[in-house]
Amino acid sequence: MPIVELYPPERLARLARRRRLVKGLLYLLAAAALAVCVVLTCRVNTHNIYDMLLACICISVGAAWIIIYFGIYVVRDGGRELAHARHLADGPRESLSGQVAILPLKVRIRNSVTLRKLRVETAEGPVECSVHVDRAEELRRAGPRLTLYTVHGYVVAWQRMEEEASHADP
Amino acid sequence: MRILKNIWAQLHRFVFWALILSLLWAWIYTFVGDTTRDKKLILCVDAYALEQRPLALRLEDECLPAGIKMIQVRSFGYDFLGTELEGDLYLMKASILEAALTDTPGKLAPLTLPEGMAGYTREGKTWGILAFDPATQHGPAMDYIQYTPLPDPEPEAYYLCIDAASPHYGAQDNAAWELALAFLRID
Repeated sequence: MPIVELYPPERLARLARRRRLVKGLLYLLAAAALAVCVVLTCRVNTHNIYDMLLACICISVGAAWIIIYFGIYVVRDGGRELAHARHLADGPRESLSGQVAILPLKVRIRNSVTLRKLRVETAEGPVECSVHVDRAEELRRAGPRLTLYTVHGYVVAWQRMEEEASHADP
Repeated sequence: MRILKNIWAQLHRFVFWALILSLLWAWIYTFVGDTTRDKKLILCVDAYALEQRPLALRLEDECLPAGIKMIQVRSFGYDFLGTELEGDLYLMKASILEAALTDTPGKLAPLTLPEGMAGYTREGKTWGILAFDPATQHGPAMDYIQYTPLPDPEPEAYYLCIDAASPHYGAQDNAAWELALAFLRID
């Protein structure tokens, strides 16, 4: 069974590309909303002033909400995940094999990613490590008995143990 | 579900920016919705009830003298006459007009009325044009202005006066007079 990397270069490249694209679109949206509001404001007269005011508020608030949402969940969190992955890329790897339990506890590192705690029942005893919250589901789907590869206590890759065993038996 | 959770987690930011942007636009529009004194005419009305915006819109439709971009209608009370109130025209009751002439001399401009137009005369000068006549119970713009409280056994006359300091009254610029005539024509 091959080792599954959580942060393969293609995934990181895709994430960086998506982040750049969304960031550009958000800048474009902000500029467009501002331009529309300026145009509306320039067309104000006594008859339409309240309609124009309402339109400007709706457009700018709508744009601001979209920018906040995607700015936080795509641009900011994407940037943090990239930084986290790059930080782990060249670190010394350790492996942990055993029964993996994903704990309900979420840990948020200040100005960085949110992590999920894992407990691995190794032959030497239980060991705790962490995985990016969005990657926890991937580990859950992989099954309970895994070999986890960690850098500084963060999971960067995994491998199914049963498959290893079945390959080894013959 | 995840989107809703994300929105809920950032609700404080959404609310904060909605408030900030609403206040910012409202502040900007206080400037956008106004113009310099030389480009607007101000009609101050002392009545029991007044629909300011609809009356201003009607007056702009009826008469927008050359060089004027906006007509503002404001509600005012007698107390304001002694202050820095910047109006071009004042619509006020006869009793208020009498008091204003005594208490704030020089505030109102003497008028020269054309033939057939009734006015308020004191010391040989005309100070106001009769707008609401209590005898006929009729006045201009009655859809926008309530001249008498209901019921009023002794309604008072209303006069339209021009501010002596108005930049729009005189030989150079007579927009205030044009607006006065337009106001009196509104049925």
